[in-house]
Formats: sequence, structure tokens, C-alpha cells
Amino acid sequence: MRTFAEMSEAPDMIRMSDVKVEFRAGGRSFTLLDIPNLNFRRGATFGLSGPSGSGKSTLINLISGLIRPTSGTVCVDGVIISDLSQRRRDAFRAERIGIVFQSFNLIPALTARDNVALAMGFSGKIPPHQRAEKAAELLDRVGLRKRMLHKPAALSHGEMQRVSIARAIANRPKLLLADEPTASLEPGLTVTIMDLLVSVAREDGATLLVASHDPQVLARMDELVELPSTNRAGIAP
Amino acid sequence: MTPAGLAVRYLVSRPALNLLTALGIAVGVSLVIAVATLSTSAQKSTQEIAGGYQLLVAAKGSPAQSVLSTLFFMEPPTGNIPTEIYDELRADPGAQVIVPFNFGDSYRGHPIVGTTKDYRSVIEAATGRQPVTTPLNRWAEAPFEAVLGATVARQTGLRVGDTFTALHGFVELPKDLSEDHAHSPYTVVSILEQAHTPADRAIFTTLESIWITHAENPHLMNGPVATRSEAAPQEGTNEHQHEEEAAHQGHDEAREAGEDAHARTPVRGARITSLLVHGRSYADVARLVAALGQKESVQAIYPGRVATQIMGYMRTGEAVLLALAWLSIVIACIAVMISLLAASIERRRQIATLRAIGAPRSVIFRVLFIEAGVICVLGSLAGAALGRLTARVIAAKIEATSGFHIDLLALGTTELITVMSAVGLGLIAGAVPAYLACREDVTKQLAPAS
Repeated sequence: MRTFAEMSEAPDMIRMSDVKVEFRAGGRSFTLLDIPNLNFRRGATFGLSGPSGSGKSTLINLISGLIRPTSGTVCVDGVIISDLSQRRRDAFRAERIGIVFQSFNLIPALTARDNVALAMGFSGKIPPHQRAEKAAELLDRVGLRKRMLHKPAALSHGEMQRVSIARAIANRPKLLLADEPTASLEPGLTVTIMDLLVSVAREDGATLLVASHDPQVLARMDELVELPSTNRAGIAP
Repeated sequence: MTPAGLAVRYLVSRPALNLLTALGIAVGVSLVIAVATLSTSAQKSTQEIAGGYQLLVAAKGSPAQSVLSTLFFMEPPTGNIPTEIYDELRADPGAQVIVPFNFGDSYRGHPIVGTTKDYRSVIEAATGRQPVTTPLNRWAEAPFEAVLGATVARQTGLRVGDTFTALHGFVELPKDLSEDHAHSPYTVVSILEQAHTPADRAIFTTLESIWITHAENPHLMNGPVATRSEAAPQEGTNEHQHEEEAAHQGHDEAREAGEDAHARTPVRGARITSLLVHGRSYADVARLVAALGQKESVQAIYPGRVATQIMGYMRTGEAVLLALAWLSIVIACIAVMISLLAASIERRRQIATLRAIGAPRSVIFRVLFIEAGVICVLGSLAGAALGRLTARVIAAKIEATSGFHIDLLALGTTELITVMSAVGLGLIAGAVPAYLACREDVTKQLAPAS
């Protein structure tokens, strides 16, 4: 396991410095995350571990640009996203980041293929007339071509997570983020899904960052980063 | 997939709820359009019918009742006026056209109107074209000849050459309560082409037919039967002291009078219910009104003005109905807001997911806004169609029951304004949940289940 200091010296996809995420409640300030320096090497796979409340999900949200740090800098793929406007962070996320969720988070009203094609629409990388075909190819890649016209309700958990992975790689992102991607799956599927996730990330040369409690998941990563317990909602004055 | 495409998928994913929400809009819009269309069309039709003549002379009483009675055959008359008034007006060079009316009898609920050929000008004034009869240009000329309105012919099945017996009064009563004129059967001599005026549901005959009928049955007259020599008759009253003595005399003279429909001296005891007058000039009309104003028991009415007053009474009811209809649209729009608010709450996680995979806030807003728009547009268009249909059905029902034809106006600004307003209100209502949804805290909704 590498320390923050060691991570900071590697060629990086993500660079974070002096990052603090705080929120205020009841007139008091709570620190959710406090990271002096943390870098993630380009093209590698990373396991993000730490006890509940250590800020794993907050870190994923920070890197994806869903939230901004209270202070500090977050640089992803050479872009300081912490300085970007909401609109530009949305566009950045659509183009360069793919996210896999614990609960799959597919749109129930859409077929598997449309769920994948939907993500393409936000990046604009793929012309509209090619999206259905590309989505079908991606579903083929995750072994779901025959199920591409099924809606999520007709898919198993494992299949839904495959669709979620296909959606995450729809825009060939340089960074793949996964927050507890196997937590909602039957135990037997963890290895299969993680192997799939790692393989697609490697095939596309994407950096993969997976937050998980599961040792089986973390064991498949190139490197592990454990968030210190001090990040547990430390109370600041 | 575009926001519109996504909105359509969401709409299709819960069809029952969205259809019900759209139905709410449709009902409100249809009410507004039905009320507004019927009201506007009824006003136009009324003005067309009432505005054709400058002056209505009738027995004193309610002007509205006189107009409804003479022009629409919808109310019993206020009484009768002496034939001398008719004679005087005919002698007056300022009166260009005078159409006399005599009421009192009916056949199967259709009023029998004693009048002259000049009544055709009333139809022409209302429709803008000369009335057509079958056989062509055949009008009631001799006593007990009858010209049927198109609706009468259709509803009674009477044809040219058929005979029928009138009943006294304006409504059809059970046989034991009604008094018929079996001794004076009418013969159908022609049938009017559908004119979409009150004429459609009336039966026209000569003035003399009514005089003869009621001379034979003097107790059925609205007013007293009196000889012309008695002059200064008891206009429009219900005095009966002369009835019996005049009856026999009146009967004979009535038959004689029937030979000359336009005789200046009508049958003994003859009465006129009302007169429609068209003056040569407005000055003549004003002079006639002043002169008639001097007479007891006679009123000179401007039919167009009275029709406007009647419409004014109707407008109060219309305003209440319209207010209620618009209120129902507002409530339907609130239902749109509630429905989409519920949808956005139900879809919080999906909305957060869309944001996480790169959808900007504007996309989230547009999806819900388009959903509101589709519901409102479909509901409003369906409501417009339903409103027109409702107006058509009600107009047909009114025509069937009262004979008052409402010529529905072509689709126009009423429909356009109502539809656009309903859509606008719906979009405003839809914007609220759309705005709230796009401001939703994404990370809160994406948090992994613990």
C-alpha cells in the first residue's frame, strides 16, 4: 500500500493538493475529507478503501466534479476541475469520466441499449446516428448483446451492472470511477464483474478507481489507497 | 437521446397517470371552449335574427318576452294588439315592410304562426338569402293553407297535400286537457328549406286562418273578440264581456276575410299579436316609435336592443361558467405540477444518475418541462375538440328542444387563446417541479446504500 507522499510522485491522472471538504450544520463546521496531497497514476487501477465515513464516496464525488472542495485543488487529466463552473464540470464528466454505481442506477424507462446510448448524448463525442450501434457493440463487449432491448426490470443484478459498466465506458473515458460496484451483487458475481471492469479499463487504457470494502475487489487492483480514519467527519472549530 | 426523447419515454412509462392528468386539462379546456363558443355563437345568432328588423310592435308587457315570442317562437306573447295598428302602419309611408304575427295554436309542439308572405323577409334578414320552399315560391295564401318549417316537416312526417288539425295553445297537452280545432284542418301547401332559424320549427299560415279558427272558438282568443265598428278596442286585455255576442258574427266575417289576406279591414274581432316593422329611414322609425308610444297597451321595441339586453343577462351566467371552467383549468395545471413533482421525487436517483453521467441541469429541467408541455398540449387539443363537440351537441339539443338554432362559429381565436393559455399555465406549473428537480443534491441521491 502506498502513502500519499509516494502517490504524489507518480505520473498522474488525478492530482489533489490541500483538499478539504467541509459542511456546516447547526452552526458548526464538519470536515468530511482532508487530503494534503494525493495523486493517481494514469492507466492504473486503484482500490480505495477505508472505514465507513472515511470519505471514499466524497472523494469519488470530488474527482468526478459532482462536488467542489471547500478548499484545495483537484486536477483531473490535466484540468483543474475544482475551478470549473458547474456547467463545465458536467461537460468534463460527460466526456472524460465514466461512473459505475453500487445500485446500477439505470433508467427504468429505457432499454439496456438506450441506457448506454443516453450517456453518449451528453458528451457529443459520438454522432446521434451511430449511438445505437455503438451501444450495441458495448453491450456485446460486456456479454449482453442478446439482452440489449430489455428494460432494467427484465435484467438480473449482474446484467444490470454489466449495462452500467457499458454505459460508463460509452464515451471511452480516461477515468473510470466505481463506488462499491459489487455491493448489490450476489457474492458469486463479484469476481466476474470486477474482472470485467478491470479488463475494460485496461483495454481502453483508462485509469480505474474503485471504492470498496470488499477484499475480493481490492485484491484485483494495481494499487490500494486507504483513506485514513482521520477523515471521518473530523470536527473542526 | 435528446431530452424530448427521454421525456417521451418517461411519459409512456406511466400512461394512466399522464392520461388522467391530460384529461383534467382537457375537461377544463373543453368547458371553456364549449361555454365561450356557445355564448358567442348564440349572441351572433340572436343578433342576426333580432337585428333584421328595426321595430317590434306588441302588446305592453315584457319586451324580452315579446322578442322571444315573435322572433324566436319561444315564449307565449304578451297579448294582442288591435288590427288598427297594423292598418295605420301600412298606411304610413315611413314603414317600408310590416310583418304581422298571430299566435295561439300549435301542432305537436310546433307553433302555428299566422302571418303574410312578408315573413320571408324575416328569414332572409337572418340568413342573408331568400327562403326556398318546395314547391318553389309557394306560400300560404288562402286560409288554412300551411307552410311547414323544415324541422316540422321532418319531425311530423307531414308532406305537401297532407292535412292536420291544430291544437289551441303553445304546448302539446294530453288529449283530455287540450282543445283542438278539428273543424278547421290545415293543408300543407309547401315546405321551407332548412334555414337554421326559428322558422324551421314553425308552421306558417295566413292571418285569417287564426282569426277564423278563433272566431269559431271565441273563448280561445287571447283578447276579446270585437267588431271593428266598436273601435278603440280593449287592446291586449282579457276582457270577455263581448265574446259571446261577437262569436257568431265574427265567424262569418272571418271566412269572408280569408278571401283577401291583405284586406285592410279584417274579420270582426280580429287581433294581431305583434308586428315587425322596417322603416324607410331611422328618422321614420323614431317617428313611429314616438307615435306608437302614445297608444295605450302597445309597446314599440327595438328588437336588436332587447336581444342585446337578453344577451347581457346571459353573459352574467356565462361569466360564472367561464370562471368555473378556468378554475378547473388552473386546478388541472396544479395537478400537472403535483404529478410531475411526484415523478421527480420518484426519479430522484435517476435524475442524480443523469447528472452524474454528464447531463447538465438544463437537460433535467427540459425533460420535466417537456413532459408538462406534452401533457398540456395533448390535454388542451383534446379539450378543444371535446369543447367543440360539446358545443355542437348542446346546440343541437337546444335547437331540438327550443328551435333556436345556434350557428357555431368557425374555429377561431377563442379556441386558440384557450389552448395557448392552458398550455402556458401548464408549462408554468411544470416549471416548478422541473426547477426543483434540476437543483436536487446529486451526491445525496447517489450515496451507496449502507
